Amino acid sequence: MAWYKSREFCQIVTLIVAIIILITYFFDIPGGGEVASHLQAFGTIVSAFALMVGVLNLFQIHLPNLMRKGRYWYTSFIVCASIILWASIAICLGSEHPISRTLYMTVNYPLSGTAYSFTAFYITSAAYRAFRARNIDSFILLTIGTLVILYNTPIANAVFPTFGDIGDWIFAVPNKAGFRGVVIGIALGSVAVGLRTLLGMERGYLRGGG
Amino acid sequence: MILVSGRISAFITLLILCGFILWYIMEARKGRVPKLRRLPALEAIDEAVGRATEMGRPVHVSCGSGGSIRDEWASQVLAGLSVLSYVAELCAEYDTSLIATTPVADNFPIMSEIVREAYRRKNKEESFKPDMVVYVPGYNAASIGIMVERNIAANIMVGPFWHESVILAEVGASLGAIQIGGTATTHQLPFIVASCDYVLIGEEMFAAGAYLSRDPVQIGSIAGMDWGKVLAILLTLFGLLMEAAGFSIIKYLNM
Repeated sequence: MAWYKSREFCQIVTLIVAIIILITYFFDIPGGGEVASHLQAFGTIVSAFALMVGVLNLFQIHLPNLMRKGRYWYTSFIVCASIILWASIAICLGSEHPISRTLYMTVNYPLSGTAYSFTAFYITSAAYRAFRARNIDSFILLTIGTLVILYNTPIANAVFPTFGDIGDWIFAVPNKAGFRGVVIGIALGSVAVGLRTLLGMERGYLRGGG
Repeated sequence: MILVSGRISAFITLLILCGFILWYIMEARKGRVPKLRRLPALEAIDEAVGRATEMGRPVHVSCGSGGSIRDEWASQVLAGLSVLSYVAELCAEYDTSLIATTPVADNFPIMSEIVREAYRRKNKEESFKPDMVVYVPGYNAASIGIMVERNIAANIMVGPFWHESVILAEVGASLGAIQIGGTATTHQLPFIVASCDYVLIGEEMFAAGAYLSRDPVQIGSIAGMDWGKVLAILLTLFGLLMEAAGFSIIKYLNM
């Protein structure tokens, strides 16, 4: 294996870059911010290449399916045609050109909105399954959930003003306490993962292997 | 070199935490490995892959619906990648079909290499296929399509998630898949808890890499993390007492 593909080389690069970013974050060094922003710009360039690899993967999957008129070949056609069309327009006319913008606003936006709207249905079914009182834990969840839902409805507050106080208390005391515990754990976990990565122990991003 | 104002206390805290973690790593190197409590969600991975193998159906893995390895979500993505590596090895060993999806271009080549390498480690490189890891920019619709079409038997989602977590988990539930979820994205945790059979809550997912690798040195770093929690509790109590006594310590923490 070439030296630049070796795990050790990747770990050294990770260590050097991370130390530079950390030092420039915590210490006021003349020109430090510039170095950090250059490094982050490299990241953006690498990201653009990663996007190209992703697009190639889409073609690798959908083109053969389209060629042999396999299952759902028409969706493969839409994927390939959309990529070619959008890429051509953006490269030839620029991403700020009215045609590019119109395509974005009239195709991507509504489709994203539609996809996002699915969430409402899935949240309902998730809530239905979560709120079945199967044991004491789910009974507590059901009770608290019901109180919070009532807290958020204007009519419940109008008829029983106490719901407002109960809801405020749930949010301000048990919810905030639990939430802060989780957040502290997450912050500490992030530091531990970062340190393990710096020391070359967390090798998930280097083709795995523990 | 002067410390940037407003980041001094963060720097000191980071040094203390690193000290704890490094201390336990060194202790583990000497053979004093701390005991790790069972994490049912990680233990269930073997069960999930085993069930998928018996049913002859694929395992779906997602390392998050957003957030890449080069932004503030990197630690979560790294945890997800560790899980992917482990699942891919199991799938290679049992000849179970695997499908890993990501909407993040940055993560795609890494995931692809991780899966390929896992198959290589099990001497089954010929079984690796490029469509095992798929880049899906429109994650909602595409992931639903893939999960339903391939009729997955296990759905493992560990990483930074947004609203897609509900969609993925509910589709998995409708297919009768065994579901393991984990995220540190706090606003998505309730949905993951509601929808998945096994859950890694917050910090638990950061222990995934160490837990699954069974590497004593990595396990040592988790014990260091626990001392960080003790420090956080002590600081909270100290702050509470000082505030009650009329001394504000907030200004020192904001140094």
